[in-house]
Amino acid sequence: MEETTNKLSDQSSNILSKESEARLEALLTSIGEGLIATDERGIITRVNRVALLTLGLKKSDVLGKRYREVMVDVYEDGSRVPNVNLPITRAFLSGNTVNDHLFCLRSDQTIFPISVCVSPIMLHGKPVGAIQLFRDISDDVITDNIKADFMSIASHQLRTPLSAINTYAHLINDGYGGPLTADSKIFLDVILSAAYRMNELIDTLLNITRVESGSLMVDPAPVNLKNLVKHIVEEIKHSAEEKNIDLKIKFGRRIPIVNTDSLLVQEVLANLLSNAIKYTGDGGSVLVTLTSRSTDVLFKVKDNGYGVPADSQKYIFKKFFRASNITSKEPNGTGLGLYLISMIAEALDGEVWFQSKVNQGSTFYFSLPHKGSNKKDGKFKLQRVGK
Amino acid sequence: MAKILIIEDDKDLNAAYALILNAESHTVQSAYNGSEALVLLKNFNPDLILLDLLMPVKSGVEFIKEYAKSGSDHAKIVIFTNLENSPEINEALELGAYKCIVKSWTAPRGLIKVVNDLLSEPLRAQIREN
Repeated sequence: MEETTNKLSDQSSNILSKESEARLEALLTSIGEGLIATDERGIITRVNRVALLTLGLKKSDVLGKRYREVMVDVYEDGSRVPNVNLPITRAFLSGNTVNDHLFCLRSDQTIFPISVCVSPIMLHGKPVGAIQLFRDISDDVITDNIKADFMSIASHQLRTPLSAINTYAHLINDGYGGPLTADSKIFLDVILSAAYRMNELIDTLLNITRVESGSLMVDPAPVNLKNLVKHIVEEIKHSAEEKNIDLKIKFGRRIPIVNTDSLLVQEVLANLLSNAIKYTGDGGSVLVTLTSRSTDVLFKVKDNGYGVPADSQKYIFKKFFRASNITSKEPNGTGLGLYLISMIAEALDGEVWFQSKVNQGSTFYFSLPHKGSNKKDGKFKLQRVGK
Repeated sequence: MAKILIIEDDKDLNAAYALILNAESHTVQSAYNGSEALVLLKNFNPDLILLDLLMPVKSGVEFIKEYAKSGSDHAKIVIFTNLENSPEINEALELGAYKCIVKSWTAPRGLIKVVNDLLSEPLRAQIREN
């Protein structure tokens, strides 16, 4: 009797197990992205139909093989991504989900761009494998390139008439056309300021297009961050002087040299500092601090200005968003600066965040890891706005 | 004072740059494309050339290549363009142009500074691989 019950139980377990397996297979097959799962040795244990179609392989070519034999992750130039830099290795070793963009070599030897998301499979707190979702983003790259080319042409065409407006307005302002009346000077300042903003907007839009398309180059080199902070403060101090704002710098002890992209860090800092000055009333104060923490360096830009209302705070890094309390005080902002720098910070493997209270001021933080920023072989360098 | 050639197809900008540089007592000549400039150069030997890149008839890059072949290419070249991160800029710099300036941001004081800085910079050997 007991034997019969056990047999029946085994049979029903088998049926249930086959049913579960079929359901799992159906679930994996219906995922619209390529999926590859490995065990802790990097042996592929599962693959779905989209992955096989994308890679041009059959299931028998994949299951039981090592990840690196099947999925050939490469850089744009075709050179192989070293094992330690593979998203799947990074996810497995760190225990965290890793998102990345790279290229893949198909079985017919063509290279195509992919977007990858890998998570470690954790069992009892230990990684026992990894699961990778990936997608061929060739169409996205083509669309982004068309967008970037369009922006490049559009910005050239917009700058052409702007060059004449700007140059001739400066000629009048500098007295090449004879002396100006006080009223004419005021009118001219409006033209010059509008031309400046238009120039700034074109530069920012170009930069955003490049960052969004993933074509921005990150070119790390050893950077003395103290000198960089001094340079940016020197560059921007005239704006603080115009508003009688007390602009100060404070350095913590032992700031390391960090391997990062100086141009991009300058753009982030210049933007944070310029915002602090713009959104602080006359006679206020702005303090820039640079300190070293256990694993990163931290830039802090603290002002005692208008602050960001609580209901606006979660939108502050969104494109075109401007907080309700500043649109009347500073109508000329674009709502693009913080969006751009949050993306630049991400490209640098850093982070930007803030704390703020209305009418008490804001503190913006920008961190960069001690280990530096990873190189990214983009097509374009950032154009520092107004430089 | 120096001899300067402005090669810029936008007549208004060309006139503005000439006005600014004349006021600094430089001797200035204007051309409106690369071909016109090469004709002018038969009788004018400038110290500095302000060069636009996108021009009709003969572009800035084409001009640099032909100027290099002339054997009398003693002038320092500074690119004035509204292009950015473009292959034309890279090519012009590789061919020996000293600097690239975005026109829409240029004010008279900026132009004067660029010109003075470049005039005081020692002449470097230009690359002529083409």
